[in-house]
Amino acid sequence: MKGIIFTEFIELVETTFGFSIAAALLDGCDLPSGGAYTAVGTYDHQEILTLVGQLQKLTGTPASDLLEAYGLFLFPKLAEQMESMSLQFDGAIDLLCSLETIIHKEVLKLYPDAELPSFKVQNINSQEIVLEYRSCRPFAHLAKGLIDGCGVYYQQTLSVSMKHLDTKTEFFTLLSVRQS
Amino acid sequence: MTQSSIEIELSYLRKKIGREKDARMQAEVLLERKSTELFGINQRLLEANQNLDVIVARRTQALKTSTKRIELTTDELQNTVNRLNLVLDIANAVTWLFDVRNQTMDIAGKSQSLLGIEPTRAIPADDLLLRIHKDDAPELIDELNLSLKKGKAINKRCRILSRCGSYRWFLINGELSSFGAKSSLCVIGSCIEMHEQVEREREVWRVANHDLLTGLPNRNHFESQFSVLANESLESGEGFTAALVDINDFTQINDTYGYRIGDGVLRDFADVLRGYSEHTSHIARLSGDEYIVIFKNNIATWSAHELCQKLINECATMSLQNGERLGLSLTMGLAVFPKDGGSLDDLMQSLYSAVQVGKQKKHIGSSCVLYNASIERERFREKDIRNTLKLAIEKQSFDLAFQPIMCNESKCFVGCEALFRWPDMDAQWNIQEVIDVAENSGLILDLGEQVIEMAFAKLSQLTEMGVKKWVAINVSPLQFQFQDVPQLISKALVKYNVDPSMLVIEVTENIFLENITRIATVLSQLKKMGVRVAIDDFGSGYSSLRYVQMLPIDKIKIDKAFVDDVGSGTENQGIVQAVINMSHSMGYKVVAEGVETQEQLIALESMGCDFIQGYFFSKPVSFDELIKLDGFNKAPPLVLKTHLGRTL
Repeated sequence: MKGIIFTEFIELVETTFGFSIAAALLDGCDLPSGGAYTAVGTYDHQEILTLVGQLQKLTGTPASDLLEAYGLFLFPKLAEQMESMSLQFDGAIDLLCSLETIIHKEVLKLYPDAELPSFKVQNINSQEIVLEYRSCRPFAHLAKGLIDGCGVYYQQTLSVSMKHLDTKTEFFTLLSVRQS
Repeated sequence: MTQSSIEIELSYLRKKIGREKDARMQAEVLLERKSTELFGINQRLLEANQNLDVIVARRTQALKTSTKRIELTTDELQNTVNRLNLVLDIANAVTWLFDVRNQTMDIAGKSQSLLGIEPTRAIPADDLLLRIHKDDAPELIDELNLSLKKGKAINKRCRILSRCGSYRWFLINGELSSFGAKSSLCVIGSCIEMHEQVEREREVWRVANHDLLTGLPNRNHFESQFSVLANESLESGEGFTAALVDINDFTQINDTYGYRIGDGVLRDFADVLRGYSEHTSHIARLSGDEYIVIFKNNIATWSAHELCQKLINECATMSLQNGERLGLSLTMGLAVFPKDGGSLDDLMQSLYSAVQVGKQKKHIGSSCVLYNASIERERFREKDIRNTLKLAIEKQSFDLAFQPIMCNESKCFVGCEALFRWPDMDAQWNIQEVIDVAENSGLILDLGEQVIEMAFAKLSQLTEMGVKKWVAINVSPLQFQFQDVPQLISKALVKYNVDPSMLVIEVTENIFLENITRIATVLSQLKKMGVRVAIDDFGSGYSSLRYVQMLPIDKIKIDKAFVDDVGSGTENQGIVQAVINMSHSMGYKVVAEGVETQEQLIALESMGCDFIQGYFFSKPVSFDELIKLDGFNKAPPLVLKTHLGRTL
């Protein structure tokens, strides 16, 4: 997992919960990287799960809420990178529909070893879509937070609902997005 | 903020600084590694780029070479196409391609205007076929189908409607092939204009196969046409009747009226024959006065015979160019294919045999003889005589008999006629028949020489014996035609050392049918040598007083047929008297042949006939018997005076 996910997560913790929680978080996790993250580095995704789990313990906030909050926080950072790649979209739905066809392709150009989730789009109409989230990692709530962040970024009101489906080999969640 | 919380934050920040340092170091290592990787990638890209340049340069060069080659090939192709077009133009030819699937034709070449069509692709094949002459189209379509089914090459001359609206000859060649990306089946070929050549060939063929004088097909054409008709006849099982037509004594017409009139007669006669074309499948002129007519299969032989009789009647009165009217006498022989001859040679032989029979009656006018089995037997008989006679000539197995000739005035034998005899001759044959065969086969030439030789030997004997009697020898008109008779006689005179005046050359009236000027010259040569000339069998054939007057002759021998009636008071007696008077008026002596009775002798004496020959005095006898005849070897030599004072 790319280092920006970790650096921005620490940034979120520091900003939201303060240095003492951040210190407790890092001290409380026996991380292989020791918590020394650089945005250009690549780290094991288990570390973020460890960090989220530890933060849940420290704050009493559910991990799913933490991940959604982190998504909401992370989106503007990713949007900056998106802009640097000269990627422009008409709005949230347009961007979400282009996740696989445009954005992930561009990401893979920069980071060929990146392991990206898949977002298959079920078009319902111009205002509503269903994203099929599939990944080997349990980050559906992070995805929801990013979708929320996307709405905020485009100043559009999105209502996002989730439906987890059982599979043995991967994490599969339907994310219904409706623009109002 | 409490002290402890400040310390915690400071501790956190210190650790954070440490983590930031570590992170920065990680990032630097990462950067260094990425930088190295990037350098490596850059190097590889550089190499790849250089390799690419080399490849691009190589490919570019190859492309240039290829382009150059294509340009050259295109030039060569264009030159070839130009040459081909030039050749096509020179040859007045076009190329064509028949698209089998679409049933269309592509015509290419500048000369396509010859075909009367515009340069259009994919013309419906039927449209072009409509332009081909209806007599040629079926065969061309057959050849096209054969080409499609069996791959057989097309080679066909046919007439195509040209743009000027007339049909012109073209040679069409073609072969089965394929064309286009899908290798579609087609027949491809050329169409060469050869109108002039075909017309020339037709003219050459026409000249080679037709008689220029009459325009009728000639013998050459007849023979090739006969093969076609014979094959058709054999296939259908229906025979046909052929007629060989011979104009009797045509030479006389030429001699009498000249060649221009004679040619006109031949042309007019050809026109008369053409008038029968609705009944005939072929008419040809075989030689000078000889024509052949092939009747159609559906004309029965008796109908053909009737048509021949009609032709004879039609020719009985013909108008000459000079306005005179002439009765053309014909001898016609009819024979049926394949009954009377299954091949050209056999049928012609049968026709000639039939004509030969007719010719024997030509003195009584035209005749039409249908070939039959008896003619065949006669033919074999003649063949038998001919073959035996030929062997006899080689062995010189002949002899002479002599019949004395009495002078009416002196009542003494003054000479004799040497007559040909064949001691070993088949008893079924007679001597006149043998002579006729010898005449018809040409054997008379050798036979005549032997007769002259034998006669001279006997004349020599008579001379040695002191018997001065003349010997008359019969010389055939054929000998005058094909041999140098004066030279033959001259050599014999020298060889046997005899008095030329003791030799009489007897010729029949048939000699008048030859070139009369030449005959006059030859007889004059004989006369200059001192030899006498007599016209034999006068009155039995072509008795021309004009020729008798023209020719340098000494005596006229009246035919036995007239002498037979002498003393009977018939018309013939008057003729004999007239001949004697006429001959005397021209200064000729007269000999009567075949005198058998006292009455005849008395009558001839009273008529003033000079010499008598016949059984009344003696039959023809051997030389030994001749010289024993009373009055032949004892009497003094006679000096006969003619009415004009000539010495005989």
